[in-house]
Amino acid sequence: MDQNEPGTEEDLSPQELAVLRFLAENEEGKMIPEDTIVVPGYSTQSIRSAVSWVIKKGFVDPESSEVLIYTLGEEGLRSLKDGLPEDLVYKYARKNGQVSLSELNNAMPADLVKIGITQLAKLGLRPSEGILKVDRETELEDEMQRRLQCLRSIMDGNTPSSYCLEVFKKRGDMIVERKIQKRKLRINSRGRLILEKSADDAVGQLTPEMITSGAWKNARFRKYDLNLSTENVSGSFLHPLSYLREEVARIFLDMGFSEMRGHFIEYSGWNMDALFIPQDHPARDMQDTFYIESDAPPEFEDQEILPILKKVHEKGIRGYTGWGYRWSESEAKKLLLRTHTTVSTIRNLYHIGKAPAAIFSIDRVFRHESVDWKHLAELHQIEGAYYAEDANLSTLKWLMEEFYSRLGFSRIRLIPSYYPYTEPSMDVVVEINGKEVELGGSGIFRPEVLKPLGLDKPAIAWGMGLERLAMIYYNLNDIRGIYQSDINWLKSFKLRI
Amino acid sequence: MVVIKDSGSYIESTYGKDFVKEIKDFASVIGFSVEEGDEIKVEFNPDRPDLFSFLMLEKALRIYNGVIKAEIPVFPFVRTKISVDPETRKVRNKIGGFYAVGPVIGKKLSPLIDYQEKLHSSIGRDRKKVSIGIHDLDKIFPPFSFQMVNPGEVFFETYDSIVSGTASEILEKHPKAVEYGYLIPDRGRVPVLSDSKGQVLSMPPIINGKASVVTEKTSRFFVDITGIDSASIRACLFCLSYMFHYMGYSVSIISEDDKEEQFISSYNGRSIVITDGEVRKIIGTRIDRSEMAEIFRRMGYAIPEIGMKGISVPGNRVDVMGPADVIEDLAKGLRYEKIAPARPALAVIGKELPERKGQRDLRELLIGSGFQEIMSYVVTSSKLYGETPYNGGATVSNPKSLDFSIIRDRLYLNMLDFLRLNRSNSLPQKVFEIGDVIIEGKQVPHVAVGVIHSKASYSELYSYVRYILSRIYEDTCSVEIAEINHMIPGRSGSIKVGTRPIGVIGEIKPETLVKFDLQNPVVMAEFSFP
Repeated sequence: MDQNEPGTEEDLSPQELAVLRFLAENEEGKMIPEDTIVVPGYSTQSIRSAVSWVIKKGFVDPESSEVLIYTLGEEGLRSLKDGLPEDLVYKYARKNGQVSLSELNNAMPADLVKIGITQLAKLGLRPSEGILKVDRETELEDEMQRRLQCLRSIMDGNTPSSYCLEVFKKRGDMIVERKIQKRKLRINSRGRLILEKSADDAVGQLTPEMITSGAWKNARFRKYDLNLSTENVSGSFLHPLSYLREEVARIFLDMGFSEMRGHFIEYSGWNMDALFIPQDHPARDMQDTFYIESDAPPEFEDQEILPILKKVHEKGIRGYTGWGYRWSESEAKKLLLRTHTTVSTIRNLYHIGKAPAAIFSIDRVFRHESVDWKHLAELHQIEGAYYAEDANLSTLKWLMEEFYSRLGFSRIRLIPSYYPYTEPSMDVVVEINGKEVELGGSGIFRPEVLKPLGLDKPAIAWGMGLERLAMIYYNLNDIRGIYQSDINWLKSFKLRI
Repeated sequence: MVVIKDSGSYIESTYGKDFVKEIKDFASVIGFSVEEGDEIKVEFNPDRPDLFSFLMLEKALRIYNGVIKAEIPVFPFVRTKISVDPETRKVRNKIGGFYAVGPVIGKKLSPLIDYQEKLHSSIGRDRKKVSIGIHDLDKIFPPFSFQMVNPGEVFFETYDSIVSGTASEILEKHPKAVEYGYLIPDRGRVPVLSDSKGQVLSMPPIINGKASVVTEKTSRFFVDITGIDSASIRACLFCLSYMFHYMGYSVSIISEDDKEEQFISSYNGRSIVITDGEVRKIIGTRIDRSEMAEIFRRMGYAIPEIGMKGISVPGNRVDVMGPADVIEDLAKGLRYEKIAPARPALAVIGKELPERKGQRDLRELLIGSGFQEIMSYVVTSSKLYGETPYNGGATVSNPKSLDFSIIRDRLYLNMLDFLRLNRSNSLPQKVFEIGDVIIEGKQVPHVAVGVIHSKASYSELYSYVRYILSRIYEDTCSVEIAEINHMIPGRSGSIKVGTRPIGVIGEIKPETLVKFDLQNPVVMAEFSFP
């Protein structure tokens, strides 16, 4: 797209020449609307720019008028793609006959619910005592169709009807109204003159022939518009989560931590019992954990721990009472999809034994959760552990401050929390845009976890969800989009370099 | 998480104007959260059942603020006979209980009942492990008997008068029985607690009888606690008797014999010995003895005045199992923000897993070849599989929904689903995924690559696959014609490096494309790597 910078009257770019030529050939004395100008090989935008220049240079006489045009705003585009808030709320209520506002807020983002409810109220459908009831078909269904049709029509470039304007004009970012100048043009006598005189002898593309023949020595290079509009290109890159995983792994490696190995399918003996989670703990319910059946079950790693676990759970260790219930080996031999990577930590520490260790993993864990905009049934857990004589609350605090500051959170706070396998247990609260958000857990392993396995030093462990971090980093409002993703987002998300 | 709530006005009038502000500050010490609105909601971690009532929370707060002194009340024992037949022991093998005598309960009845329900759901694991019955002692006549009976033969009225009839009828009709009935699996025989006059007090763990119903006028209580595990029964016994104690009642605990008495009494005020060394080991700094004693008292423990060898734990602190638990309370009382961070020695050298390098190289090769990385779920939808033979060897026994019900044994079905989601985006699309799959129970890393556009063909993808493999293997690669699920016969086969098969490649069958709503040809390959 070579384009001369129009420096002097005589120095016309090829587009400008082409525009003048078009006007000269099609004119017949009339004013020609700008948007009817067609020049093969040039985009509308470069024609527009050429028109502005030939007006400025005084080769054509313009005449302008103002018109209103309408396009869809961000909200409008979203509604066209995913549905209008009022329609989504209506359909949800219709599907179930009725729905409570709190249920709605769980099912979809709160701002969407708010807009949906407000709009439905304007149409005469109001929740009563927090319940929105739609137990039969109503004329609202046609209204929703009409509204969608409005958006579609605007999307297709049509001027909206007064009905459409009334419904959407005042709603934030649904439709955007802009005033634009429409120009009509006619070539004048100066224009005709320059057209006759013009001959394009400046060099556009530098060719291999010119280089080898030496013709370049006498060539005059046309100047380019360096900010010309070009085709949008996009390359390929890492998945955002994979990119973030690398970042977090590098933080651990820089701090001297070694990556540990683990696997998705675990025995509850390792996943739960070795972490002193009692066999009747609610986390072990069928409602919280995916259990697995296998024709070829894997071997229970390090079987020798089974009698140790029985003893710890039933009777405790020196100074500690244990849970005091009857421990069952068959319960420990249930297969499950690991619910945390802390299972990898404890098994790796068991194998490491006496030497101090700093270990980490960033890998998938599984939760028996209903998937919605803020929950997934599987996610990547970031897990770090430090096993050494000096693992204590003071060093834990240092580690958390260091680790989180490397993630970009300069201010953190530890608040008391509870995990069955750590004591003390703390959650890490970070500040995001002035708001405090709980981002991860941390703690010092209970003696009942370490001592029975022959681990004679204390150990700090901490963790958080990689997807939570991704939502913050990439400013996402639906966690499902990370996996069921739009390829355009995968190719365009902002890197934090 | 356990939530307690009550109306703001009730709380203000009962516990004082500043109570909410005070518990908010206390929340950052203990670790719970307070939500303010018309209702005050407090959300607890499950480890502190001793606090699951505003009444008890207030006591802990007053002790923390030094308004009242921490104490470990001594409860006397009484020997009231509760005869339990061997058959009952098979269902609810243990029973404990206590008497509480004091003022007319009045408005405190409702928080008492709420607390009982919190104990049912937490320690009692929804009455599976423990259930509690609270009775008006003035209406009943000890001793008691806890026996299995034929439900058709025992007749009583439920405490709320909803059903009056045989135990069978109650089990059938009362809403509580509908909710908890599953806890009595054998409907042929049900456990019933009755008094010496044959009045039915309750049918644990389902419902109480009308005969012993408590009202706001009740001033003398009998509390029965039945369950399957004596430690949990004891835990509930102390949680409730502490509440009665703080409400001004004299509590006496029922015991069967000396052994049981010892089991119960040794728990209340049990001594935990902690050393300076242990404290320093967990907290990281030395804490002055007198400061420690002060904090422990504020956190509700009793400290013998001379020395500090052992500290005494109240019987309702059922979470405390050993020194680590009381040292956590020490750290909480000290407040975490006051603990100075200390840099650890970290005498370690970091190392990545060796396979990460290979995966990174492969990613860079594929991105360099123009493929975009995608990521999909390991637990995926069985709808994607349809009739496809499954090779994972591991099935989810409790899937949440069809969408999350199968552990992927291959990547390319998820990839087809990704293309389906992106069917209205511009073409061509070239994507890859690197991730673990489960094959015959074993977890192995795979890579899948796929191309979709109007002229996508085997030869296009094959050229990339051959290129990638030439960069990572010494041996040359070839494709042997083979029948592959979802791929067009004659245009698909098994990828070999040397003589070793590593994966599959081929054009996707039109019927599969239609199933995934795709209107353009797709070519895919999936293989393992070293």
